[in-house]
Amino acid sequence: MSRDSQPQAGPGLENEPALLVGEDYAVFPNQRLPALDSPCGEAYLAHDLRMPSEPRYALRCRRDLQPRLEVVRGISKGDDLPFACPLAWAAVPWPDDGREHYVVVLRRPDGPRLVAPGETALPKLREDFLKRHVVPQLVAVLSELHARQIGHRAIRADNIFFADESRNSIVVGECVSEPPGLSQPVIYEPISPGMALPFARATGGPSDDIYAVGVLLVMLLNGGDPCAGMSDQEIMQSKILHGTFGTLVRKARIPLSIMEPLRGMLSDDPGKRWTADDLDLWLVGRHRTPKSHTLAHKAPRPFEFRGEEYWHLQTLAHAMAEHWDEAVVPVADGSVLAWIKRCYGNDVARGEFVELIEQLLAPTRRGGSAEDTQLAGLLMAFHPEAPIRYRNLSVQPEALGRALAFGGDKGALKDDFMAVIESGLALTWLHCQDSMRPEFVPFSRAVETVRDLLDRSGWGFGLERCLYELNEAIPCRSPLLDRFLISKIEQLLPALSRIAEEEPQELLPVDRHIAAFCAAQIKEIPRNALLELSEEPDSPEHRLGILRLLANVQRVTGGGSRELGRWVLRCISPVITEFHHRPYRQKLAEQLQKLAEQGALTHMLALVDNEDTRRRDKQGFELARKHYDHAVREVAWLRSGGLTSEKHVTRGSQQAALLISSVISGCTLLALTLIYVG
Amino acid sequence: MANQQAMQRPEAAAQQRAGLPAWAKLLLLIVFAPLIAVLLPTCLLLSLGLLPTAVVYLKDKTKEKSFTITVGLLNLCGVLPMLGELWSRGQAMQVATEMVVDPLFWMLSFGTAGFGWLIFMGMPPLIAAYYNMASDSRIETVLQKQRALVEVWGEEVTGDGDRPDAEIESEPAP
Repeated sequence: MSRDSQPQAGPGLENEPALLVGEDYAVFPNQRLPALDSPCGEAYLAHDLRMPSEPRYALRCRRDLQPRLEVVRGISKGDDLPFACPLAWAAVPWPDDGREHYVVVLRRPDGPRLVAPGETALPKLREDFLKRHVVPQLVAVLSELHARQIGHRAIRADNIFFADESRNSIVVGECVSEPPGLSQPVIYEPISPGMALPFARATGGPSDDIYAVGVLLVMLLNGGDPCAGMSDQEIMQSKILHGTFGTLVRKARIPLSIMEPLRGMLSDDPGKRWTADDLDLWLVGRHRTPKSHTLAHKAPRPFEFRGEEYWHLQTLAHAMAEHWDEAVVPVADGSVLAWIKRCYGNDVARGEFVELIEQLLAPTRRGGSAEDTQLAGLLMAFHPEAPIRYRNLSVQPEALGRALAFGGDKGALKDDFMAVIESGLALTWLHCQDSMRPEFVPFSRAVETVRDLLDRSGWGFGLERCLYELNEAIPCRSPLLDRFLISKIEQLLPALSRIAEEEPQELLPVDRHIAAFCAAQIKEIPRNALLELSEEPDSPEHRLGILRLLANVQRVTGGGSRELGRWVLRCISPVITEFHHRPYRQKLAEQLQKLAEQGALTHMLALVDNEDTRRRDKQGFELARKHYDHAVREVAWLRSGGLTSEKHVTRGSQQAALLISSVISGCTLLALTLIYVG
Repeated sequence: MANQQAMQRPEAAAQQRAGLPAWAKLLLLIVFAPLIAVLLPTCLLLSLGLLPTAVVYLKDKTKEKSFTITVGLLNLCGVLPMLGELWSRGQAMQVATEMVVDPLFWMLSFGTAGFGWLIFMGMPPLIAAYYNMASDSRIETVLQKQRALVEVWGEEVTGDGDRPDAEIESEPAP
């Protein structure tokens, strides 16, 4: 993607500044289309450079949320589907703030929305209109998506458009600008994701879409929300108690002929819920009898909580999760356990359940407070399909990473997330499930990994590492890379090179987030690099760790530049000055300067990270210090008259006199010998 | 056993103070008495000629006896020519007597001994002056070595300054 080139705009837009997305789309940042805004994306006019006549628009996504870019890659780009199909995406530096944003180009619906966002009153559509102009379109779109194992997860009334101004057909709105199910009202969500926080809902799949279609049809037939006036908690309580079908249909006027598909679509058991194929068969008149869903089990006697009597474990669990601080009390004082034993103590069939409750209430857990952990475990046992609930956090296991990405920087949620992992609640949730499903295996492994990472607090570990381990495609959250969206390790060095062009004096090119991002993306990052980075930022070890980390990134991805080399060279000056031998230090600095000019970080590391040289330098320095100390003592001795002292002079003069007399006498003896012998 | 050793120790010390044992003295007397009798003229000449050395020996209280050796060597050099003359003239007692009364004999023996005495007494000022010069030169050499060390290894090589071994003013190891 070219960031700076000016694409050729459509008619009337020649002078408009435009951004290029992919190779085929121009987006006009000054041309807003508020009517097409998504809850988490601003809409702008876009232009298809290959097919100028086709209507396109672009959504600028929020930076704190991860759009579903994998859907763009996996989806068919055909123009025949009644769907605001995503066509291309790119991370584009937006003119108003200079920061990169994910921009998705989509096919533009020509008609208005079925209902404006926030509106509760819907157009009341007739059954035959739905069967002819709404359901077939929905089935066509969902069949296409579901065939590729993609859930739309944003089927709701305000995300459905009329195909044109004649309002005779519909177009399904986009589903990529936000995480799955984020903006879905509780009524459109099945019980389990409905109980989770919006950003902590699992990706979901086809069955969640069919459920949302069922809710949508009820609303359109009813001309509005049948649960209007009810709080989210009341809706969920009702769904748990009466089932979704019972909750929605008993309050709406629904033609009998459409009851059957609605019962199938609104089944609370995903395994019994209809599929897009079932719906398609129904459209052509081949009816299938929906399987009925077993309602919640009623206890022999009620439990009183907050002045209300609860006869069902699931509804009690939901009420307790909603009023956490009050729920802790009956758990801690044993009244819940007593109630369970009174209800099921003599029930052989429920013996395992009672044992499980007793295990969960045993105070042998670590992480978080014991009472909170016991209550969270109790809620899992009461309602195994529900999300993991811990104080303010309510998260579906698959969405732990997403919850951390969105709520990890928010104090209470961060603490709750850590407590869930450290106390082993995530694994307790698995233990409470009736059956082990294949998708639980990677989740179980991920939880173990994350738990291990959280135990270590050094650079490259901790919460930051969990974030990148659990969210494969999430951009690096380093403040240093704030204006970029770096989601792949290959993008890191080019981004740092661009920062280096501005010659940052005070900043270091690696922080905790970058270290964690690299460690998550490159599994063979040397362990000692992370250990070195965990030292004090001004220490030579930390600076060497920076070079080691970036050199390993360069080894894997290539890249790097002269500017980055210079930046790193400035950072590792403490490593160079750690060498004592001045001539070697000078030589080393010159060699590093040359390598920095080439951006060769791996070679720079090889030059600096020489243990033998370092050891010899240290030994030489110690020897030099000894010599210096000896010289200091010698000068002091000489200056204090050590050599010219009386004792020393006397001894020297005696020796000198002795020597002279010996020489003279020797010469005399020789001369006399010669005389007498001669 | 310990008492026995304690009793033996004073006896050994007394024996050491007395010098050679009696039998050794007797043996020496048996060997040297005839030799002295035979070399009586030579012994006479030597005993009179080396009188200055004997005086110096009595005065020299040092362990090394440097003064005695310095004077003695030159004194001997002064007596040797006379000794040669005596032996060339048959080592007769008469010749020895003639030599002893000759003033030249006394001039030579005392003159050479005096020269030795002068050397010994005149050396300290010379040596002190030499050592002064050598000390200054050595200080300069050592300071240069220190500067070279600082140049190569940096100021860190000088240490903290508060290290105790940097202040020790003891004689450096050779």
